[in-house]
Amino acid sequence: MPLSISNFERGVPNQPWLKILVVALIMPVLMVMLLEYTLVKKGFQATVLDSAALWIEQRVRASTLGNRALILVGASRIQLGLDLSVLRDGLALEPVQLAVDGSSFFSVLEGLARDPSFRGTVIVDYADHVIQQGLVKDYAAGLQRAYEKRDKTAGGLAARAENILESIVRHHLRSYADGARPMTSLFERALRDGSTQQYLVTFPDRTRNADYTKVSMPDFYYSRVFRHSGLKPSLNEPVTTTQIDRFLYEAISQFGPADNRSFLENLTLLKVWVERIRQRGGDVIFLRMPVSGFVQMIDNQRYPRADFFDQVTSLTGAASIHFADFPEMGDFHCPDGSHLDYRDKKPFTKALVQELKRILQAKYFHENREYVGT
Amino acid sequence: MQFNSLTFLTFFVIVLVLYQWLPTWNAQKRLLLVASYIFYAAWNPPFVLLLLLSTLVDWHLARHILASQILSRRRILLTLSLLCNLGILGVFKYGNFLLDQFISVAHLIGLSYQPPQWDIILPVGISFYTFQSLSYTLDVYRGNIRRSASLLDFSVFISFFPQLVAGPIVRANHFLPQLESPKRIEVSSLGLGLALLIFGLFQKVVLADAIFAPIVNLVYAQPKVFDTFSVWAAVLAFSGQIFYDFSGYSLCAIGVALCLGFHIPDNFRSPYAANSFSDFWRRWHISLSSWLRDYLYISLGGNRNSVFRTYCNLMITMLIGGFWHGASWMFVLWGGLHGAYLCFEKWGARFQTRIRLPLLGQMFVVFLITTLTWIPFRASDLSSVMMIMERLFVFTNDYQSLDENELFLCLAAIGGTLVWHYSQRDFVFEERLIAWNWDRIAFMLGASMIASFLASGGDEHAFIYFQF
Repeated sequence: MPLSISNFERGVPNQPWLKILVVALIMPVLMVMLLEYTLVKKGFQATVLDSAALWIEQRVRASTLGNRALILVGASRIQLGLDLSVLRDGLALEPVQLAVDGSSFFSVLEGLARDPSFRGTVIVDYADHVIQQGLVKDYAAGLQRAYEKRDKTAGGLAARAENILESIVRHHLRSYADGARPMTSLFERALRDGSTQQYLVTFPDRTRNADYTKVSMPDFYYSRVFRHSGLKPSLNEPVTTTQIDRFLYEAISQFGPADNRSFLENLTLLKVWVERIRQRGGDVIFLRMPVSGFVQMIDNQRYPRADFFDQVTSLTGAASIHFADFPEMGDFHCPDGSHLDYRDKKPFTKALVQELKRILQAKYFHENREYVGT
Repeated sequence: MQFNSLTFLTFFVIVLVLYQWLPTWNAQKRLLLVASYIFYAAWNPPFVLLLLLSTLVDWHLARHILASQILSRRRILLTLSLLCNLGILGVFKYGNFLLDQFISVAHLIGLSYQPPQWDIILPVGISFYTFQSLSYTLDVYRGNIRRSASLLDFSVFISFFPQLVAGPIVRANHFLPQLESPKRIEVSSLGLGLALLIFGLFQKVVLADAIFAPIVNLVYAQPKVFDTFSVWAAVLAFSGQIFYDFSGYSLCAIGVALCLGFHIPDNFRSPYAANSFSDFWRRWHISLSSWLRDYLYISLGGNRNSVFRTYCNLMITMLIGGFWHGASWMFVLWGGLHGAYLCFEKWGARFQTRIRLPLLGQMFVVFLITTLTWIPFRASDLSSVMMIMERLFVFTNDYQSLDENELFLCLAAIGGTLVWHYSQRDFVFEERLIAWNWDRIAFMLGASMIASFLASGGDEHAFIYFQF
């Protein structure tokens, strides 16, 4: 007989197991209830997790919708600024949100261009610096790789069941709000006095709402401007907003335009992808989302429109929309300089739909096809 | 389906209720079989066919081996079983790797050969159930099993969901007798089973995933940007991560099986308290090391021949053991290093020396070498191994450091682990539970659940041993 084989029976300790389990269970239940109560009192609400699984699920949809697909790629501006129901009703297309906070659209657009089953329309959240830097290995690129490498059957049943169960839990528990771990919710939100309120809410379709009345202004705005500009606040003593405004104005005025050579080279890359998508009956539209205040000033200084945005249509052949060209889109104010508040989401999308309709009608007319959204 | 998922908890509750509700033992066993196949199919439905194939082939071959009195025929039947099981394992686990090696060798001798990539998916847990199934035909051939199991019992033995995808690898002699007597859920077994499940989940979710994994992932991704102290911390953290990840899974598996009334042997016994490498392998992944010892090392002749032959047998066993973990030269290197330590230890034992380190010193040396030997196990390639080794032994503090809080937590957890293993060295976990008061056990369980909840919700981390 092999050495390890012998009669085996695990000794079960003689303990009052039922009592142990009941008492043990009461502890986490009480703890969760207390944490949830505190978070409710502090105004937090439950949200879905903008996870890789959710992104991949939406990416799969993008390839199955045929020419009804309206894909949004880019970063937080388009994720916070466009209302999918308004797009759906206004354009009779099925919008899919693939924008990834803080990421480049390059990998995702390239993936769509390479995907033979994708035949839809892509709205690209245009950002000068993103085109300037070209293909990068960022989080969005990782998501695209994960989508391509996904085993089409692996985890099928289990992953779907887990997604459903997890979304039920996240739908009810504030401890997981905005993708936080309960540990973070406990120490950073529940126990800390004066913690930042929850101003972002993520929805199951991956859209997000930003409520800027919940953040401390103008500190929040200035921190965004400093981050966007790369400037370091060098004022040590308490200062007035007028002093900060003057400091920023003077510093940003000194910004020179960026060299647009790599930008123009990358546009030729984009042109190839645009053509591939068009060959399958799809289309690509570049959209410059609204910016305000010093963020707009920084972009104007660094990326003069004539050298950057205005080159997009001529060098890629894709249509482009700049918010400043349309009074109904240009009047929106971004509270943090870079993103729309959720109250402006619907009106901005409605204004955008008018221009998108015009572009799509022209395209369908050109291709002798009937556009159902008219 | 992972133990640390809501899907599994739901699935397990449904199975428990049905298991208790069904009137006959046969019906309960059928339920276990269906549940096990659902558990496996939840990951990738087509691969249940492989499980089924392995089961049917080995069951039939074992029956014929039992029925035959002719040695040559028995040998042929055993060879068929080995070919079938190892063939499946070879194609699905090592197919891509072997093709890559073939292409590399062809290139080396100047042949330009570029076949299309096979793109084979590795079926989860294939190494575990293949070894489990093989042990049955080997035991039948050796005469350790003299009675054929029914197809239902054998199928449940191979596919039993608590230990199907990552062990412990259970032997037929342990498990099949348990299928002969009817079982009902008992409060004491359910209580201990759930307690083990909760402690196992705590090990996985809190210790492996929340404390150790972030440090390991960060540093191993780019070792060259971190300073010496941070790299040491990451190397130590991986010792913690791999232990708690796998030990956590094993504890969950043992607990889930116990809830259903089945007893599965331990897979770990305080391995970081080992005072020699042979002691380490009696404490680490016990079900695999004992399998390799019983079916490979002893079959090769064990230590029954010359000393040189014994060393060769040890090296072959450990190299195959390393390769079992995955189709990569890094695993072979890891296995080879452990083989070399065992040979060295055996060689050293021939000399009686008066100078011996105290037990704590021996433990420390074994832990340190084991920890350093985990580097090729975790690193992606040899250049990363060399980079990490350089960072470990060429002191530098000009580079990036880890977050102080994370570092403190990680080192405290490693220190705690060593103390715990030392104190547990000669005990099994249940003996501790007997000694504790009920309120202490309840508090520990409650605290484990709270900690698991607080640490939950991060990135998904599959159990490391799923890939093997």
